[in-house]
Amino acid sequence: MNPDALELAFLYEISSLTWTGSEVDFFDEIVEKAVRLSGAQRVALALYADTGKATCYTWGFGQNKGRVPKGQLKQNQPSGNVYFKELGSPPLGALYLEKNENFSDDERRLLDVFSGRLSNILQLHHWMEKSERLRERFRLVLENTPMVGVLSFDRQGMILHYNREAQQIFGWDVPPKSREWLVQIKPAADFQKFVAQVWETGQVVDPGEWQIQTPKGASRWVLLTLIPVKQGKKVEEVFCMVIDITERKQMEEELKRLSIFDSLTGLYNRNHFEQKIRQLDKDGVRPVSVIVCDVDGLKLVNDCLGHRQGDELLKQAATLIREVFPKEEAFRVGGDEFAVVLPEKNRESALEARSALMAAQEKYNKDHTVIPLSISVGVGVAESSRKSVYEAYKQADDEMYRDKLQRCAKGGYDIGRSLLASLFRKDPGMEGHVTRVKKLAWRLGKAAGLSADEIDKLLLLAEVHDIGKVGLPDRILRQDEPLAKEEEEEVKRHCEVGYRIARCSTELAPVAEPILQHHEWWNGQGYPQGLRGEEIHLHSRILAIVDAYDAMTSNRPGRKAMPREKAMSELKQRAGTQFDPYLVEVFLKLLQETS
Amino acid sequence: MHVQVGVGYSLLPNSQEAAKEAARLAVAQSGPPVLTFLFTTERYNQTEILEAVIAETGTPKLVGASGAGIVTVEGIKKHGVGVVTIAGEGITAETALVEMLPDRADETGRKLAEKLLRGSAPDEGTVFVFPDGLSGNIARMLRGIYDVLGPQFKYAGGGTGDNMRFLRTYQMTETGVASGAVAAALVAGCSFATGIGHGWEPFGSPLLITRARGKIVFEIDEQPAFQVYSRRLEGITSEEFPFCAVRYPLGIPDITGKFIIRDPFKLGADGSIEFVTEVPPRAVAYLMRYTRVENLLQTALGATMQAQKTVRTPQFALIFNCVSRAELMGEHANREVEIIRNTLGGLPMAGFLTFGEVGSYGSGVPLFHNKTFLIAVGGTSLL
Repeated sequence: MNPDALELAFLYEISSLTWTGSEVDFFDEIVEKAVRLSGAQRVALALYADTGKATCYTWGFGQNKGRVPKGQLKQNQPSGNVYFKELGSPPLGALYLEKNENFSDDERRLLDVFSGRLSNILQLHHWMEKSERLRERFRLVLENTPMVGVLSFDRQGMILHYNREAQQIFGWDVPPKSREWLVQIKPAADFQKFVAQVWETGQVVDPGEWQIQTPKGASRWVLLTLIPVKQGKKVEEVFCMVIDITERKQMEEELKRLSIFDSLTGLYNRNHFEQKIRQLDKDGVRPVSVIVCDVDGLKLVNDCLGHRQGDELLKQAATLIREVFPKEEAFRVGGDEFAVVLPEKNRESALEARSALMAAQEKYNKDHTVIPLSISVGVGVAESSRKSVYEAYKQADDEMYRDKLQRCAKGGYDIGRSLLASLFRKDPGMEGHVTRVKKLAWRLGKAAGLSADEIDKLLLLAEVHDIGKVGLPDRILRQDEPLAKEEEEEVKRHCEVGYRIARCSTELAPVAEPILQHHEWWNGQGYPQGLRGEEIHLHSRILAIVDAYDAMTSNRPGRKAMPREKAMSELKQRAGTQFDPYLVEVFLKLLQETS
Repeated sequence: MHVQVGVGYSLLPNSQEAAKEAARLAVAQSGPPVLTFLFTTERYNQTEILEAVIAETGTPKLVGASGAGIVTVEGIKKHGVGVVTIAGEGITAETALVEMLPDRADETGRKLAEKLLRGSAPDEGTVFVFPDGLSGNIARMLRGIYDVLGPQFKYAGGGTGDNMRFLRTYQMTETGVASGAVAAALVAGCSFATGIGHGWEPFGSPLLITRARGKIVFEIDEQPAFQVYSRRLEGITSEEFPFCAVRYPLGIPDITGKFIIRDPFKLGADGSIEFVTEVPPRAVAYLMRYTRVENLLQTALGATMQAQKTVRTPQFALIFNCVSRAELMGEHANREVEIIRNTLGGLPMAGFLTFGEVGSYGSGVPLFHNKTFLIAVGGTSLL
């Protein structure tokens, strides 16, 4: 073959070399070419890593493998049977060739081209590896970044990359293959403009709050920023980074709500009331009427029936106010105090509203609750700018207080009586029982030698002794099926509840102790305190006998009345255990005399 | 040091009888051998042949190969058994038989070479390599051998073959018969000089192997390989490919300006061409042809003379001749044998028709050739 043609062929072959995919295969190709194109009998290739470590591939050293003579590892010699060249600057490797005769000048020239080509390949490979490592790191970070959704898109809005978090935030099963995802971000029109601006300016924008609507209709708040990526001066790709801040927003809303609303009743709170009246003054709105309402007896309900019942009462009051004043702003301004602000309403209108509220209260008590609702109301008006709305509120508050005092003085409200009335409404049979028990109690009281005053108290006791049952569910009150153990315990508590109610009532306070003791037993095995004998109040001992006798001799749900003789026999049997034996004897004698 | 050589062959159809006859003839000449070469063809039970030869010769070491024919002093025989026994004081031999690893041909070569070096490894010698001509990347495998053994050894051999059906070929050592493997022997104490040549010449403008992997060339001149090959041969069809492939191989030049032949073997569905052995990617190649049989004969003669004159006292010759070359030469193939026999002055000679040849042009590094004639002349020492 023509030497020039041969050289040209070799030059083509050398300059066409590329990276083969692995260092081992690359070295093998170098060996094949070095042997064929230069007659090399030994080849070594050192590859330097970024870490400073070198990997050395050798071929043809036979049993001298790895022992490349150090003296031969120097820069390219002008003559000789060794060719050595460092590859790249800074060096990425080195090439060593050896044969059994000297390399000619032409061969060295070709080998220089060969080395140059290897240098370029190594340099490119080095950069590709680096680039791949960076790419892989980026991919791992992108894929696994918690809480931050990342996606990128092109000018047409097509998604190029996305991570799991973005997929979750946007609610995709699979990312859309069109730009439709852009309208998920609301307000959509604003976002489109925002995106267009980023493409145009190529500027990173500060994070902002947006809403995302998922394909399934859920709405999320996100903190979103757009980051344009340029190729030269032109924006090629935009990254969208989103963080789901829905929970934070919900908390903010909740805090805001709590700062304005009363959590128990749902009305506006005191804080908002004061802001409102200040604003009305500032805006110069006149006239402004203020209605102040106060729930009567709340403390008594809390103390007697528990705070849960008290809270329920407040909520009922708030509901009533809401119904009567659907359009106006209503506020809870104190523990048991409410206010309604009526802008541009004069006194006359306010008084009409007051009447409506009272009428609603009446209707409410008739229809609903075990625990009746009683509200004291006052009205105040700021007719002109000379009087502030706050002063109108104070006026209303004072009027409300006067209303409360008047109602108390009239005796218009007594919680004890109210509860008793409620109890009788719930259990109609109870009224009859109470009447009979009163009669029997009177007779036994007289026979036992009680004074008139004592007999009055005894009769009062007979009337109200079961007032503690007012909070019991109807099912338990009716006693038409056996009670579970917890229900029995609940029934037993009616003595203590009745005691507390009686203590809160002026009228009933004298019979509070007997109410508490009316289920004690003579032998100490009663409840709630386990009193025995004459530790038990006389009135309670009397009541226990007559109450039991009436219970036995009356028809009850699920049980017929016992014959008189049998009831008497029962009393006799239990004398000394459940009942006071002396009083039983007196009572039985009375009954015999009657028959 | 005197080398005793025995050469025998048999054309008997019975495996054992043929083996015994050939072995008996050989060992009668050499005496108890240190190493035995065994060349066989199809239609024999290779295991029976091996066992019979070992039994007959008592040889401790044997290396063997199947081929498309055996080479004898009386010409090429399509069916037969050839045995060469080597004996002599100071002659040592080590053999190895290793399965060809499909994806790591270089590892196969290294493993084979390491096995040859077990025991007391000589500092120099000749390595005869007989890889399965149908499998693996033989060129890369040879690089693996050389990597371990290095330039202090000579290399010769050929790819094992069958009767051109390309189904199954055999490689042997005293340990057994294999397929898809490489058999090799390292001989020391007996010097060999090799001669190699093919006689094909380049024609037409160069071709650029723009995309290739292993034996398969996908693109020539950036176009589908067969499309270009066909065009260069004035538009041959795929049906005409087998006929043309034998006659018009590719030649890849080396530093000496000589061409290493690469035989096209079969077509791929994607317009690629599979070759008998690897084609270097991005190489410049030429279409090759032979114009006259005389050129081929001259080449063989030249190779023989080259080898002969390098040996001080030539005593025998081993011939590894490409089967496709022999097929193309037709009746002239036996003329070639005659010429060689005459040149060698009647020295004992034997060999087989190979699927590819192992040898080097000048650097001593073993390459895998196609369509090549290789002769290894053995004697006591080299000049």
